[in-house]
Amino acid sequence: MKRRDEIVVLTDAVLITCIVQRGAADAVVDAATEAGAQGATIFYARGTGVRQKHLGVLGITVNAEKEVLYIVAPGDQADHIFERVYVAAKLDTPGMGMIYMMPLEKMATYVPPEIAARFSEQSDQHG
Amino acid sequence: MFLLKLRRGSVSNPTNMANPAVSASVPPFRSEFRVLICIMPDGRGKEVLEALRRETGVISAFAHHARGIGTHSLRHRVYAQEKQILTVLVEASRADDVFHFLYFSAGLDAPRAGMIMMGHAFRGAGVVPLNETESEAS
Repeated sequence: MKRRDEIVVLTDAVLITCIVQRGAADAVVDAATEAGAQGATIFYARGTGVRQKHLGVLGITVNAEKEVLYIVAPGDQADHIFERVYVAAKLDTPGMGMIYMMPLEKMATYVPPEIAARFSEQSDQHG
Repeated sequence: MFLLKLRRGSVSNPTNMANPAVSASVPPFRSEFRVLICIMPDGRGKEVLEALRRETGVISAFAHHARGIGTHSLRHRVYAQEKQILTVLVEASRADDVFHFLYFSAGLDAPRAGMIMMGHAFRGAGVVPLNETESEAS
């Protein structure tokens, strides 16, 4: 039985951060959810860079308005989601954005009690 | 190329670091930090920031707006919610306590409220408290 002040912590999670042109995020989220991601969080940002003038005609064709996506994925699915997002966001094209993923030491969210109980039973059985 | 520029700059110059006369303006050395990213329901950011400062003394945090997209696992139906993201920089030794505090003060123990994650940083400088800058200026 979980105590009121206890947290079920998940490990082996990865945070995928993807920065894309404004308006492109929805297509990227669709690709990520199709690849197995449970969801994504999106916010706006303004991007700039020293090489921006090389990416378009005098730099004016590159839209500085960006969307940043946070996708939290299990470690074993992260590479697959990363690759699908990379393709969907067309990140092999100059000026389209960038993507990186970093390990999370731990993360916590609401875990239904029945699922938490099932996992604690399994861990008890495995010693 | 970028790495080369950093090494040549005065910020990472080891002689500058060793000089106590400029110690006040020298950036901190490498250390162990944790970055906490807390995704919570919209409208809660300000009160959580205030509670974080009041209860734990951590002021190296900022909040911004976002939108969250999730899937229902049973019906594969997509839903969207307004969210706020709180990003906190904290010393590694205090990270677990702050993690615990944020989880409950942001109300993440409820379905679809959001999540909190902890990442790693090896060099950082937090927000300087206002009273410290005032005492240096006077």
